[in-house]
Amino acid sequence: MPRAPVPLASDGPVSDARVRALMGRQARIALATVAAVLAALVALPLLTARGDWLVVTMAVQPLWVVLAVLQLRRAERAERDR
Amino acid sequence: MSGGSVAASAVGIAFVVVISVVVGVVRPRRYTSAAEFYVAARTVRPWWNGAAISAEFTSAAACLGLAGLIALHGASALWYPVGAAAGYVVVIALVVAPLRRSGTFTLPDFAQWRLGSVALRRFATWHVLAIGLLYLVAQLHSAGVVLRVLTGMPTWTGWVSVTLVSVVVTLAGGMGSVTSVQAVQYWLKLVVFTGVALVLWCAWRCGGRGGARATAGLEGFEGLAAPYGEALAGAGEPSLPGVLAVLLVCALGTMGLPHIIVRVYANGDARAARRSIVATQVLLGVFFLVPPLYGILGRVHVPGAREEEVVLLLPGALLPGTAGDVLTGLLAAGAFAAFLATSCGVLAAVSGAVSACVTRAGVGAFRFATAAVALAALTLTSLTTPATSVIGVLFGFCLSAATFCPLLVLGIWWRRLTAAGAAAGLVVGGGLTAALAAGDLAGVKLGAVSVYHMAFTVPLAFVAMVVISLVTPGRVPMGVDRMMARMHLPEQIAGPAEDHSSPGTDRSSRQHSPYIDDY
Repeated sequence: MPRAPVPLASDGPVSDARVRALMGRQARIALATVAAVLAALVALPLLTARGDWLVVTMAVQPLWVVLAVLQLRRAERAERDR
Repeated sequence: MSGGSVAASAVGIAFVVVISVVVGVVRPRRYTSAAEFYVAARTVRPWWNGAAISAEFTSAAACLGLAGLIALHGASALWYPVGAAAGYVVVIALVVAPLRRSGTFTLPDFAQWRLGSVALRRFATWHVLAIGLLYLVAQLHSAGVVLRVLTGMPTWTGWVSVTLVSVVVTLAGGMGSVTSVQAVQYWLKLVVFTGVALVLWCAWRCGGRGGARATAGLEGFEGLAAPYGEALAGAGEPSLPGVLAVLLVCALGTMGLPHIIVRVYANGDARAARRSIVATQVLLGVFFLVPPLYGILGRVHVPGAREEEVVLLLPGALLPGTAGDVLTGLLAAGAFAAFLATSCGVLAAVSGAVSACVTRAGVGAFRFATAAVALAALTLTSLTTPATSVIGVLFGFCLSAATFCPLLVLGIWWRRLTAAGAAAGLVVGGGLTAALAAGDLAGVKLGAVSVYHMAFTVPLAFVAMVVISLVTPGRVPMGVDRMMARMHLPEQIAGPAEDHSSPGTDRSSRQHSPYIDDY
């Protein structure tokens, strides 16, 4: 039988308001990244002429790496600033 | 296939099998606890873990299926590798750090911890099992076809050999040995597929091999939409809406693949987990440059070959003789590394989830579940006809995007999600996806609804979760504020107070996990 969830560790020193503020900031950062991904996925096939698809599809891979690194740095900065 | 290439393939496959078993069985130390067995003791470094995630993700579909799809359908399929890698940007943005900090180590665990419902956990486990079996069956079918093409052996030998090696590696050392095996297999696959592609490309462009066909260059590549026989889940649908649907489902489905997300827990903390995903992004970006090369080569030199076979037939077509035989052997090794990497990962992840749900979790239950899941996959493989691996894997993505994607996104970012809402979303997303796919197979065509069903199922699953959660506000779990704090605050602040003062513990053991500590 799966056990019932164990209660969490005791309340930390962080107030609920601060958690909500950090969550809001992280959510904005994350949504900006996801929006960039979805925009690229929809716009690139639409805007690219069919003959250029090979070049464009290979050039997108570095774009994903850049977006991932930017997301990592922005999310960690938000956590440090608190 | 010539005698030389049969011998070379047999040597290549045997080499990969032996390497996998040796790395998997010999390397890991004896684990002292179930937690170590499950999640590789949380000591895996980001680049090592990134290589393992990439190996697991670049399955038969990525190594053989994508190239075949590009060869068959032309330019529109070039977008598939783009979508396949995009999922990790979404994962790092929305899921990784909070999920790692939650301390729950499978998707059903997360559902129970976050929403406080054992029934929901069981329900989620069924979805994990379904996605895992889809993946396993796709790998086994692909292995059977490849072994038959290369050596002439019956297809069941491929199924059985991949299953046996996966079970041995998984049973020997749990996630720790699977991680080692996969990291080795990633580099093997990368070197083999890139190296052979470059040799073949040079033989074509520089050496003038292929005669008159060499003049038919990239110009003849675009357009030419081949008729597609099997197009379940929109795979191989060459129109622009078909391509967009596949891209979006790949981007959203990656986060819910059970074997991918379990890897997050092999890292010590959220910081390392995020870096693992960035490492994965880099490694996948390199790997996904290769399938288009094979696709173009295949379109020019082996037109009419079946999807899964395009890559393997290329060396023989371009470089007849010993050189071609050696390259075929190398590709056979790479293909088997792909089958094994994905099969081991899926087997370990699904067995972990199933064993923790059915019985009291422990190493014995995990081993029993591994054998049971492997047997189920073998049975299903023998009962189904081989479709292309891309279709099976893409259907797994559809199911994941319509079930675990809304569960994770809403569970991590929305306080008012309830167990009833989550269950409703799983029913709507999973049920609709299964029903539309079953209808498609049975010949019930609903036009755009069945071809691009992910465009309907994913939003509807989100809507169902939100609406039912809002209707059942009384079922919002009690400790939701503390859970949110735990997921979104860095470990140094949110962790248990006693751990700050214990100098003997390293970062990896600081995080308390309700499901691991008391095994």
